[in-house]
Amino acid sequence: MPRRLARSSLARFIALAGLAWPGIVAVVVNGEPPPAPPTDAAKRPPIVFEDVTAATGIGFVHDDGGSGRRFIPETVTAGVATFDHDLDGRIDIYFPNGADLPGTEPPRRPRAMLARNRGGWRFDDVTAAAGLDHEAYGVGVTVGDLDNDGFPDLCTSNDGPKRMWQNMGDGAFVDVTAAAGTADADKLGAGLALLDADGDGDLDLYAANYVRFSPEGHVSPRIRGVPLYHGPRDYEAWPDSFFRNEGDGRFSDESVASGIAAVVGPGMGVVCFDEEGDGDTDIFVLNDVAANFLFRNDGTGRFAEVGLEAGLAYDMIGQPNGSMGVDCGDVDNDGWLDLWMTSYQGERPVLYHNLAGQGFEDVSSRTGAAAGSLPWVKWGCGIVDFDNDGRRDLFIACGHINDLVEQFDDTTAYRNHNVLLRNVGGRFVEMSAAAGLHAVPRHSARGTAFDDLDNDGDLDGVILNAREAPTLLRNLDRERGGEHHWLQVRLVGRGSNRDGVGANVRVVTPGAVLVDEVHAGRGYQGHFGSRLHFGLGPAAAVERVEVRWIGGGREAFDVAGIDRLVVLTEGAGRRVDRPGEVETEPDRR
Amino acid sequence: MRSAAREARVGARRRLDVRLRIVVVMIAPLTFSGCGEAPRGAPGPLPPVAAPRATASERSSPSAADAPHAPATGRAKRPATPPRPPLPAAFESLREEALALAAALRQRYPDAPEPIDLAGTMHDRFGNLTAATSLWEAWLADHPGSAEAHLRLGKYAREKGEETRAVEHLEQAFGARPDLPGAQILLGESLANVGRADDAVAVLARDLPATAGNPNRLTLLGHARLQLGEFAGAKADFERALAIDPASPHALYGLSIACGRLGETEAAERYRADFATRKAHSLARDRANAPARLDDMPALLQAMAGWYATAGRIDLARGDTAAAERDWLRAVDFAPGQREARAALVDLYRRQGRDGEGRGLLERSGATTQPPAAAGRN
Repeated sequence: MPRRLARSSLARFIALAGLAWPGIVAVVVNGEPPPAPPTDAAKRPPIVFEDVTAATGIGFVHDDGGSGRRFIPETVTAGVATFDHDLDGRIDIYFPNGADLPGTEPPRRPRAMLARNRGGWRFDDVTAAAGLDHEAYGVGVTVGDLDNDGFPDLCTSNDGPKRMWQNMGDGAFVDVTAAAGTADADKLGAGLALLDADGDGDLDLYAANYVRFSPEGHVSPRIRGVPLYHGPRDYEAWPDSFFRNEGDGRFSDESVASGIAAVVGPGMGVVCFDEEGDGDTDIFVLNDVAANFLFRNDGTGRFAEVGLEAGLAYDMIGQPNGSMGVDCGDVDNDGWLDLWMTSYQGERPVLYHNLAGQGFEDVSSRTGAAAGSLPWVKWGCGIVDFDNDGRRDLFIACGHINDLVEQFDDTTAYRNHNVLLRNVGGRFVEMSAAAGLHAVPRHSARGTAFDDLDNDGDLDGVILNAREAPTLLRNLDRERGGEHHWLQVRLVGRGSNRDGVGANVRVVTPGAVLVDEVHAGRGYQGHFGSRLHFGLGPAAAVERVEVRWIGGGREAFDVAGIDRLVVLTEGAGRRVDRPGEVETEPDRR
Repeated sequence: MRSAAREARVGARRRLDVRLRIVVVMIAPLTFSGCGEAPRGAPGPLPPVAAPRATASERSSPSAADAPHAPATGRAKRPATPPRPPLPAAFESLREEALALAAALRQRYPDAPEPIDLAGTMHDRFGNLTAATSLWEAWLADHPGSAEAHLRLGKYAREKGEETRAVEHLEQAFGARPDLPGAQILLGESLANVGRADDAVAVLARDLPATAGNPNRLTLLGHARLQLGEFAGAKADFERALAIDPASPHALYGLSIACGRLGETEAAERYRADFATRKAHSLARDRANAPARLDDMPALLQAMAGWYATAGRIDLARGDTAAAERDWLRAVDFAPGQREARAALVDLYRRQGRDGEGRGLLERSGATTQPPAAAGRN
């Protein structure tokens, strides 16, 4: 405990130093001078996090179930989900966990955990009461209201059959996999996402699958005498799966009919969004050391894979990356959702700029988004406005797959600091140390989730760490008197799906239009952000909020006040035919 | 006096030539890091050995133009080559032997950069970039402004993710020696990586002898122009790269983007399809190579052979024929097919009147009695 306190104090010191002399603090980041930010950036307070893990009471420890034989599921580890499972207004956390793999003796029987947020940064372990005390080898999770009853349900992917958990509304979940028909055989799964692919008002399930792994005949490779894990290139991949919601609790496997199974790749993170602004939801799937997929929806739930055509299959020079996690958000406030994806050691994370629905361009180097993480293996990620300045920042969770990596490669490490890149308007400045992230104990991080865990108006972080306890990061923006206003939006669908998944939301302020969509599944095989969060930057008011519902129309809502959560119900706004136009200029690149 | 001065200049030029070629070897597999998946410090194709002095009769020899040359030592009786230890069975002993080789070279030639480069390459391959960096930093302290040192330090900094520092070193290297192999491409790529695409274009657009026919320079140039929105210029660069290497996936990919942005839809689709086909083949080939990835010891043995071949070249360039022979013999111990060492030994034996030993060497290694014509294409 004293050590943690000391580190926390150091974080505060660094943060204060950053406030007083932001330029000087920036110089010490990574031991080399960062690219010069615009002069006005120096006037803003930096983003600051505090590691509050110990105080939360969360006793979860991830266990990959490994016995030393080094099976590939151990490297996948898991994502994490944040959502309000009991609708008490506080965001809870679901941590998937591993399970004993062949050869693990004595059995350790790791368990997933549902941590209920009771406020004040205290959490209760309600796993058993919630019926989630299971032994599946969890790797991925997403959240959405599958039966439109108002309570968020849970989907988990595993090294083994997938599971679907119905939220009964009393805090308990029931495994409805058999009735739903979504077990998807015995595959090593990956990221999950829910979307209303056909606009029929209920959520369908996209499930990425990884590789055809079997422990039979497994031999660990070696490099310089040190045992390694196999990589995805050493296996055949599974095709991904697509399950259409029949609206009665059953799902039909339409992987082939939808066009999803026409291509095969070792899937990882998934995010769904309307990539070309045509009103339906498309699917972006990362593949590990293979071309990424962009499944373009024809509006009926039939997809064509157009990743290469759209410029998303590879990085800038046409190289497949060890792609891991992906998030979606408008980083330059041009009204189009961009993509941020993480990659393996020696590869740059990739920021894909959406060219107004005409494809994507890798702008990682040009914008500085590639700085600060090259030597690390990168996993969870987020496009998140941490300081409410109206510009979304970038976060990367880092950690190597091999705990012995330092024995044969001194350029990287198993445990790393995580990376924060602050959006200073058209460019990103790496400021992990100034934000206190170097004061947080190092782990081998994987899944990340960002939500307002203390309902104070800024976005906090949860990081699942391989083989260790998670990290909870409290964003101190409000505590330090953050100068910007904010607005959170929760949607309630009537004709369209209950949580408004896939709905496009435009927050119109006197000087800007801020755009986002509701996602169910994002980051590294996890979920967060069911409540949309908008930092308003210099704006002191919101003129209106426009919502384009999936399968429905477009509505405008008047919002009374800011710095609050507003709930917008489908049908309660004014019908509008097209988005209102606002004099605004996107951030320059 | 004039003759002596000329000899000194020629000698210095030859030493420089050796240095340059060694640097080329070390950099070759690393110049386009985003495209390759070779392990760090992987051996590249070995360069020809510099010829200290070629006599008229040697020039007329069929192999003289390509094969290594040893100073003519006549047919005097020579001491027997000492027995060589068995090959190391474990990685640790292999590393010890490699580093001992590099240390011995550094001790023998303290003023030469080649042993530093060899040691740095070994450390890099063994995952110790810190040690490799220290070696070159020490060299730089003793030889301020050394372009070779800046080049290597720039490359190492880049591997460690210190991209700004990498650019600083590479700018020093390129500024001092624009023709230093690797400097232009590494600097251009690094500048693009840190978002200085306009500077990258300025560097990469220079048509230097060292990179005149290098398609990687042109594809990097094209990608830098893409960042600047110069789509027509980028297209031209990619087309030039494709003319040099019609199979270049990077040129095809670049063309698909440039043509797409220029509104040349059909051409973009054609290049995209070609790129996808080639990419699918390379990924399939990669998957088929899974068994080879189970253990890197065979690759390390090949690397050791390459390092010994390089050591022999360094020794020979300084007139130590006996040490060169020992190095080359050890190289073929590690990899009987190591072409440079084999060719160098055959040539050495021929000029020492030990043709029988040369034939025996070739037979043992399964080669024909004709020595390989072009040493250095390993």
